[in-house]
Amino acid sequence: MEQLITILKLKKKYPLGDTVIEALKGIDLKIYKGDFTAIVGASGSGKSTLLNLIGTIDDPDDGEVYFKDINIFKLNENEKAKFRNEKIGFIFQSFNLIPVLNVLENVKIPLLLNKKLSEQQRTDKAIESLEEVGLKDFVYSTPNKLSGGQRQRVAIARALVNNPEFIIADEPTANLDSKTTMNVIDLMLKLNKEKGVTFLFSTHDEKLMDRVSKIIHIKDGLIL
Amino acid sequence: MIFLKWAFLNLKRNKRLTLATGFALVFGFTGLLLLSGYIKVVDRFVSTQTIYLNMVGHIGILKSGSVEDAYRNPEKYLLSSEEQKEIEQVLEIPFLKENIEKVSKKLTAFALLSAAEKNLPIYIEAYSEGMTAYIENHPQLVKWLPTLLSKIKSSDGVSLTKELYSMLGHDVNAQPIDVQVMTKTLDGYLNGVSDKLTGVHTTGLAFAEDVSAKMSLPKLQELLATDKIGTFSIFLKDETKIEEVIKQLKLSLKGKGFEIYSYNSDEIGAYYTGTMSFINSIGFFFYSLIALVSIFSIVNTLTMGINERTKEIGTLRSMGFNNYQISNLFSLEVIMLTFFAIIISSILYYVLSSFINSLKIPFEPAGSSGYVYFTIYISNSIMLAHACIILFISYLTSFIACKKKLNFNIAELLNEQGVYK
Repeated sequence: MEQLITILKLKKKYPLGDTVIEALKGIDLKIYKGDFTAIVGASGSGKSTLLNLIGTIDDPDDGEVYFKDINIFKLNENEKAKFRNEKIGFIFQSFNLIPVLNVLENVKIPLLLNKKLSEQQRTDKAIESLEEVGLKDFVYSTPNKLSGGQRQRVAIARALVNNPEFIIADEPTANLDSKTTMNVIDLMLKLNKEKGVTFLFSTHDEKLMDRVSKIIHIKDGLIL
Repeated sequence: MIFLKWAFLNLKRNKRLTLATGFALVFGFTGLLLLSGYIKVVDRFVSTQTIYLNMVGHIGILKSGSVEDAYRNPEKYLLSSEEQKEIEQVLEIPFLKENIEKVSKKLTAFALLSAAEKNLPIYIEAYSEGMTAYIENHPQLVKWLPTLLSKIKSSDGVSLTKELYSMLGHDVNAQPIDVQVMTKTLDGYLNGVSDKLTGVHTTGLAFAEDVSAKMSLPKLQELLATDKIGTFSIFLKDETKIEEVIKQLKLSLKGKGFEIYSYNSDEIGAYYTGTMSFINSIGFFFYSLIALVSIFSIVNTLTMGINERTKEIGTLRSMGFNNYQISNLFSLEVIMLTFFAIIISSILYYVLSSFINSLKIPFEPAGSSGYVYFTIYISNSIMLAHACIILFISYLTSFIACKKKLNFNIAELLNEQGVYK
């Protein structure tokens, strides 16, 4: 299988008052194309920090992360922004939808940076993405009219709309009830299988463990 | 379109804050327009007074050094008849001829006026024939100083201000009386001429109203026993051509010992420059004050908006938006708000100015003799220029306000509590 992400001796410290917290103490990890990987660990174990560093939304103190053969921390800010836009999709615990925009417009946001697309092409792609998550009938609704599960589906559609190779999800089901959680995970699995999108997500929900292809346990900043 | 809708809905979402900032911008911008409209009126008032009422003209041609030394040695610094001919020949150049409305020769002197058994010290100004009639009904005077027109009655004889008439104990509308004017000739001999007191005029200047007299140029030349003059005053058809005409005059008169000044120079228009620098200083102070209030309102709105939408900024950056693109999103909101404020302010400016102008409030500017109407100049160009300035300030301010927050890393932005908590 093609190696998509390679992590080498990744370290991250955070200052906390007078002390320094070592969030990651030298992580080595490989993610392959098509993986559906869960990072599991207690709160404060370093799951989110690891996902943030892979997604280039935080900077490490030491170590390297390669996306295929690109060392992502060698990229400048604009290159990182382009990398995030084209290669990665993000799904957040609290959905992070723009409340004043409707569902369709929320999903279109990542496409706004692609100047080669016409407005109609953006709309078509966004609708296609919403169809994949089963929200075709809600395109003109605003996020506050949707349930938690529907909002997370919109967030998934937004993460998928640019056809990224890799989706990072930080506790995507933490704000959802158990039934909706299963629906969302099923949807992510379906996208993983049908579209071949690689998923890496953090969770501490034990019920999900039997559905993932790979589980990474993390404790005190180290992979167990 | 989505960005416009996004900006508009964000403004709508924070109604109270948007309204507060919008009102601050509307009041600020209307204040700026009214202030500029008033300064423009004062400028036109003082410039019309200088150019026409005091007959300085738009441009003055003098002998080199005369501004500093003519009073000490008038013989040396006045323009001889040969020099006058030389200048008159240059004024025949087609470009100058087509831009010049009127040319007057000007000569001045201190003298003593005797009439009705009284003697008064006077400062006489003499101009080419027909000049009093030229300015008496000039459209610029009619437009900007209509209230002073009643104080002018052209004459071929001696003209005094109403104040001097009063000092003589003679009624302005009474039958002309004989007056004698005495002074020293340029050679230093005492000389006198007789004339009729027939005219009345005003300088528009409080400090000059008790000494100002006018008489015909030949009469003053006879009194001073000379054929020389002090200045050529040039009145243009179109004031905007002043720089071009001065350039041509300087080129044509280069190296011939003359100096050329515009009415807004200290050399021949000290009253204009003095008054306007005072007015402009006050204007600049208020202008800065209003602009600062507007800037702080924008910064305040944006800072609150940005703090409230920290997570939105983090989300956008995680999707690939860079700092510049996100700044532009916030700038668009500010520009949209400013744009609405400009439209409302412009309407207020037109309505308030028209209302104030219709009231015809009498008003006596500092240092002036007589009143004018308090008016506000209504101009599209003032409005457009200010709209451009305030839009630019808004854009710049929004960038500065966004800068600090955008320098946070994305993880920090996403972890901060915003509206999506």
